[in-house]
Amino acid sequence: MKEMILKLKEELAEIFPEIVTMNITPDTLLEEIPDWDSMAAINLLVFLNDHYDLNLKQDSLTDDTPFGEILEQIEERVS
Amino acid sequence: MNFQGDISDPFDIVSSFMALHRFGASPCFEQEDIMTILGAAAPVRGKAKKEDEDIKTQIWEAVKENANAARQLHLLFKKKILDYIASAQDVPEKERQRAAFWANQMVCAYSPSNFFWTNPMAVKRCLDSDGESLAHGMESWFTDLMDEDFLTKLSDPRKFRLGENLAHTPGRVVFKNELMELIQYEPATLKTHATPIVLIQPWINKYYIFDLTPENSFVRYLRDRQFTVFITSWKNPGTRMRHIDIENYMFDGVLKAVEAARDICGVKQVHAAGYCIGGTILAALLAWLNRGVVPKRSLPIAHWTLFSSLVDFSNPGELGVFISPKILSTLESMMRIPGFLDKRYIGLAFRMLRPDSLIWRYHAHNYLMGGELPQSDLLFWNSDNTRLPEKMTTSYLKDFYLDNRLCQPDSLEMGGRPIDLGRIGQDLYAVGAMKDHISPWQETFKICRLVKGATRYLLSTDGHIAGIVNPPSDQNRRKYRTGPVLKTDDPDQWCQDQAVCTGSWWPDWTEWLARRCGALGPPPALGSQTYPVLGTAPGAYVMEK
Repeated sequence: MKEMILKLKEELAEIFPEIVTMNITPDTLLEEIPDWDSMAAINLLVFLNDHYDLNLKQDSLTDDTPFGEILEQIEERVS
Repeated sequence: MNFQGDISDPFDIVSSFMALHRFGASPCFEQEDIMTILGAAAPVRGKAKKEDEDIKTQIWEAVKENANAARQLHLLFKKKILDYIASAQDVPEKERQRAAFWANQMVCAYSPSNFFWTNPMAVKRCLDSDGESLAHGMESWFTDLMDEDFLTKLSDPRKFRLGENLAHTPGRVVFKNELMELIQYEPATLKTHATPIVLIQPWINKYYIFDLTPENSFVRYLRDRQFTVFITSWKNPGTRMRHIDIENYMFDGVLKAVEAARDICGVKQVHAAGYCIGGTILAALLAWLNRGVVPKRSLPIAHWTLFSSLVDFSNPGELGVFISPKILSTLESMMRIPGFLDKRYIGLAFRMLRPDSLIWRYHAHNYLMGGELPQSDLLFWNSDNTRLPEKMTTSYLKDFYLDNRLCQPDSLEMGGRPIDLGRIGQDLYAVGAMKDHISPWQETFKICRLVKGATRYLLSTDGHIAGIVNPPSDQNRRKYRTGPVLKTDDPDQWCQDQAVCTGSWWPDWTEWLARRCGALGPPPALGSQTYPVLGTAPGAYVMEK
C-alpha cells in the first residue's frame, strides 16, 4: 500500500502540484488537497480514467472521500 | 507613478500591486531559500550520467528529481508572493483581493507542470511512446489554434451532439420570440401535478446544464416525478440585440414563459425556479408582481425557487475582481463596436477563477502529455459559452454589482414600478452551494431575510454547478443541510444548527414541490391553441455559436 501511495502521489503532482508537500496516508481526505473543489474532482476523475481506466462518478469523489478508497479501486482494477 | 485611470492598466492589475507597495508590503525572496533548494537538486543531476543505466531511466530519474526541485521552488515562490500581499498594512480589502487574484494567475502559469522538462509524466509518456505523445500534443495545439481556442479545449466536442446525447429529453418548442425559446417537456407519467414548473435558466451559458446526459438530467428527474416542466432557452445575442436590456429578459423572457405555461396547463399559477442570473431576475419579477394591486393568490407565480442566485451583491465572491468602475468602462469600450460582450472573454473570466483546474491542467494534459480530451458532459457545457448584449451587460454590472440596488427597497425601477424584495410574500425554497465562488452561499442566504414569505434554505456541498446538478445515485456521497429560515438568522449559525444529510438534495426539493403543486391529474397537451408547437427540443437557439 505504501508503495502505491508514493506512486499515486508522484503521478497526482501533475494535477495537484502542492500534493508533494503533503503526507498522504489511506486516511487522508480529498478535501485536504489545496484548492480542492468540484472542478478539481473532475480533473481527478479524468486522471483516474486516463491512467487506470477507472470510470467513477463525480458524486463518489467528495470532500470526505479518503485516499484509501481510491487506492482500493485502483488495486481492484489493476488486479 | 499613478496608474489610476491609465488606459495601459484597464483591469487595475498594476495599480493593485502599487497599492500593496505603498502600504508597506515586505520584500519577497531570501536568496538562501532558493540556494537551499537548488543545492538539494544539484547532486541528483550527476546520477543521469551513469553509463550502466538504461538511457531512458536515466533521463526519467533526472527529470523527476529536477522537477521536484522546481516544484519546491515554485511553492516557495507562491508562498512568498502570498506573504508579500498579506504583509501590506491597511490596504483596502478589494485591492488586496485583486492583487492576490492576478498574482495567482502568474503563480499558476509558472507551475513546473506547465513546462515539458519539469513535467515528469509528460517526459515519461514521450519516452514510452518514442515521441508520439508530444507529436499528438502538438497536433492538439495546432487544432486549437486553428479553432481560435486559445485556452485549450476542456472536452472532446466530437463526442457530444445536442439533441442526440445531450439535451435530448423529449420536448417541444412552444413559444419563440427574439430573445427566448420556451421548451415544454413530454410527460413521463400518466398523471402529473396541476402546477407546472418553469425553469428560468441563466443566459450566460446554455440552458442544457439542466438536461445533460440522462443520468445527470435535472429536467428528466422532475419529469419522472410527475411534474410538467418548462425551460427557457435564450438566444445567443448578436449585434442586432445590442439594445436588449435586463428588463427585456424580465418581461419578454421570464414573464412570457410563465404566461405560456399557465395557458398550456390551464392553471392560474405556476412554480418558477431560477438559476444564477435567471434567479436574480426572477426575484426582481416577483417584486414587480407584488407591487401591483392584484392580490397574491391571483399572481401568476404561486411559489418559487432560487438556485445559487444573488440579490445582494455587496460581496459577489471572486467575480468581484472583475468589477470596478474602470473595468466597466473598459468593457463598455470593448462592446461599443460589436454590440455584445464576446463569449471568449466570458469564458476566459470564468476559467481564470480556477486557473489551475480549468486552464493549466488541460494545457499539460492536452499538449505536453498528448492526452485524449476528456469525455465530460459538464466540461463540454462549460465550454459552450454565449455572448451578452451590450445594454444588458452594462446595466447588470452597474446597477446590480457596482451599485447593489436590487436589495435596496425602491432603489431600482423596472417596468415602471419600484422594486422592493420585501414585498414578496410567496413561499421560497433557496439553494446555495458551500464552495460556490460565483455566488457565495452566505450571500445567497440573504434573500431569505429580505422577503416576507416563508423560506426554506438548502445548503449543498460542492460549487456553483456540481452543488446544483446533484442527481441521486448509488455512489452519491454528497451532503446537504436544510431547514426553515427566520428573518433574524445568521447564515453561519443557521448552518451549524442544521443536521447534515447524505445524498442528493433533489428529493427534498421535489417533496417540497409536491406539497404545493396541486393534485395529480392527466398531463396537459404539448402546446395550446395560443402557444402551438413550433418544433422539437432542443430547438434552434441552443445551437447558435
